[in-house]
Amino acid sequence: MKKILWILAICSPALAQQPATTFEEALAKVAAYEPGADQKPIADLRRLVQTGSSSPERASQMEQGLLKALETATLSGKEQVCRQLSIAGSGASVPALAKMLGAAETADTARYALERIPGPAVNQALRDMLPKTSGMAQIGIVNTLGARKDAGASSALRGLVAGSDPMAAAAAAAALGQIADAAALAAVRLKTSGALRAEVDEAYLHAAEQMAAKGDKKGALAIYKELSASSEPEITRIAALAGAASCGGKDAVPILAAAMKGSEPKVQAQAIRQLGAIPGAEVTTMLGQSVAGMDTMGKIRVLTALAERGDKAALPVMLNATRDNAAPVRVVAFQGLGKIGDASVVVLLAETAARGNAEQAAARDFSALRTGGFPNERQLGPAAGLTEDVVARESLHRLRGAEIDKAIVAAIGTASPDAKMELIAAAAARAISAATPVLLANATDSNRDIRRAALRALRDTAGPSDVPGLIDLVVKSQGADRTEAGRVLASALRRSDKAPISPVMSAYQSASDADLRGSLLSVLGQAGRDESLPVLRAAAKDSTPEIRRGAILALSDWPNPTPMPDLLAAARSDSNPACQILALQGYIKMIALPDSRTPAVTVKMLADAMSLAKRADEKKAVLSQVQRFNTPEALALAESAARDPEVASEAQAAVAQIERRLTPRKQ
Amino acid sequence: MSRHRLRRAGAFLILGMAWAQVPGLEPLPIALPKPLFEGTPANLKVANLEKPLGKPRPPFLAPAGTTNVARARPVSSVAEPTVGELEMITDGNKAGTDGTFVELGPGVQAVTIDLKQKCTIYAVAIWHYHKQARVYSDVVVQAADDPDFLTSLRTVFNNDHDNTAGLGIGKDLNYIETNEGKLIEAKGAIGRYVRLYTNGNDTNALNHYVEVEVYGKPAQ
Repeated sequence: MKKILWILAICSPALAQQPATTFEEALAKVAAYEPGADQKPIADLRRLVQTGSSSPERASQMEQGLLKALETATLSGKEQVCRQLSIAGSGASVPALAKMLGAAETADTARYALERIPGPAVNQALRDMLPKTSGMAQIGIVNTLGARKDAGASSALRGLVAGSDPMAAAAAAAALGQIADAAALAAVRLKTSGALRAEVDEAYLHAAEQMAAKGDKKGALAIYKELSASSEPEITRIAALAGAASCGGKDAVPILAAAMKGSEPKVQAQAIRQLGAIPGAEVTTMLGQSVAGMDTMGKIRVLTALAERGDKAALPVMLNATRDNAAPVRVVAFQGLGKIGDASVVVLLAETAARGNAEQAAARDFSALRTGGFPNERQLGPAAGLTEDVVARESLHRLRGAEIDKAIVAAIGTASPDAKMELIAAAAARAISAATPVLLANATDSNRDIRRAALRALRDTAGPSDVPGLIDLVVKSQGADRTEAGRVLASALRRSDKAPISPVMSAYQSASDADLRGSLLSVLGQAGRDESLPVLRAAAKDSTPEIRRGAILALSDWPNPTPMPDLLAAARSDSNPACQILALQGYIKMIALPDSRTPAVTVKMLADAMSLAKRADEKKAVLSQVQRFNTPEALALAESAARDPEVASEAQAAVAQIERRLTPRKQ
Repeated sequence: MSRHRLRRAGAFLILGMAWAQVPGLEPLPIALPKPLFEGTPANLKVANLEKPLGKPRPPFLAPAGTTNVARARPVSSVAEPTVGELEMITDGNKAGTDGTFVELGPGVQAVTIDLKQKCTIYAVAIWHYHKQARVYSDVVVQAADDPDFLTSLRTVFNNDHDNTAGLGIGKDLNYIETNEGKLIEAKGAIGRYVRLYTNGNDTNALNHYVEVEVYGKPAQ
């Protein structure tokens, strides 16, 4: 790289001093150009022509120079010169270039320049050459006339379309399309058939597109209407319908509506898709009215289009389709309700989702299904997973709007048990905080599934202001429900610092039931708020072993090592052996929590734990952690334990691990 | 086959024949979910890995009247699941597809099933995750009479070969998860609570359970 920079540094002054190439010098070299020669003169000539063509006087001078060079240039040189004439050329270049059109080897080169030179002289020259040429040369001229949109060539092109050369006819049709001579195309298309008809149709569509672009939408729409007739080929009709919708908007509705009623599926699909994209209540009405007379696929297409439009005026049609005889139609209708439904469909969606559950449960061995309020029906449906219950549930979760949330909350109170479960799940999926009171009420329902569903939903809906209600729920619940309620309460406390912990502490203080007190202690442990530590510390010294146990377990759940001294104290001095063991287990578990201690301090803590361990279980737990340290103290602790037959295997494994890491590896 | 394995295979054969001849023994009615993958993975680099049988597991004989005593029993864990609900572990759905398994966070995690009464346990069947041929690490299964696992603790399976989980060194082999699940012989261990540990798997650090079945009878 450095070498290159040096060379550049040395050469650049020399390059800077080189005299600039003149137009004449570059042109002379380009005129003599042969393939494989130096390309620099070509680049120089291009630059000089681009720069000079901004001045009419200079452009004229250059044009003369280029035309003179054209007389003697090599074939490759002619090509390069013509490229520059396409920029600097004018009517003055036409005679020379027209002469080149007659020769097969120069015709394309000449057309390149002529296609880009403005002015009627070019068009006339091309028209004049048209009858004098044939085959590819003629087709080239036709293409150029099309590219120049020369309306004056229409008559000649029309003749070619009707002529005997099919390739020239196709090219002429395409050129008429570019010229947008719809009248000419309309006239010739009726006289054509087969492959040429397809070319003419395409040109006719192209002509319509250009007419629309120029503002003649009425004319364009007439062509699209003509081409969308049922007598036309399917592909032409599909393209014509797209064109009609694109340029006509509402004016295209009659054309599209007619096509929608046909029997060709692809044409119908295109018509419905295009109609669906045209805004307006009348289109919604028309689409809705069309459903009744359609077959299953037609209904599916229209309902899908109505759902995509998002126009709530289609809600009655969608609701009606949920009762259709064909299941696929019902599925699409329930999907549609998720997009255009309002509060009035909430109960229907919940009941449909629930009905699916019931049917599945009846059809299969219930033991194979999930239980507990959130049956996973998706896996029970057909491979595609699109069953009414599944889509109804998705729609219930997807519907947007505050009124939907209100309707869900209101319906929970009155729905049947199965529908209630669906509504509760929807409240959770939508995180409706306003549902919390009704969920709290249902969390003590006599139906176990409803209780569990409500408890789970509360995790997503309960906020700081719901702490008193959740405490009340913990108090009222029993067994596994109380455990779950405690988790919900702890989760609410963890999620927000604004959630007050003091009511939980007060509830604990005033509770007399040992199980309840234990649950509330567990909540305090899971919440991990510093202000509740004094309560837990006091409980760890309570006279009742059950309370001490609850406090020790809660302290063991603490998210940081703060309560370690309390656990160590209980492990040393609790009068109850079980509490001692639990405290020691909690202490060992907490040693593994992330902390900024040095390894030596941690190993000392493990040694303390080992000295308190009376059972093999705790010793093994200590050794599991000891083996992670690469210190002589850790090795000594493991070696010492290796003399204990109860844990000899674990200690020896720890010794081997530590030694392996302490021993320097051989290079 | 090593001499040790030959001896072990022989012992199983004799034991199997003996059980088969004991009146009152019946095969456990373990229903298997549909397989979610085919074949045996070739590139598993896991030490102490049990060689796949290559054929369906033979029936396990247990005293007549033995049932899944864990069905619909409450399940608890220290950490909350990150996916699914704990009750899915005993809900009877072993499909193993999305929405039918529980996921617990990384590291050593345990779930505890309360059988609600003291039971004599003959076998424990575990489906951790069978959408993929995984090997879960440090699988330990214990039974105890109390929820704190302090009294009458029995370890019925342990494949933690280096005491990583802190529950002691186990000599059981690592195994590949399939739709058959892992059937563990509990040899009549008695307990009300069954606790199951794992420490991630060979694919990721997370822990999963599709279903656990505990085959036993109420203890006399």
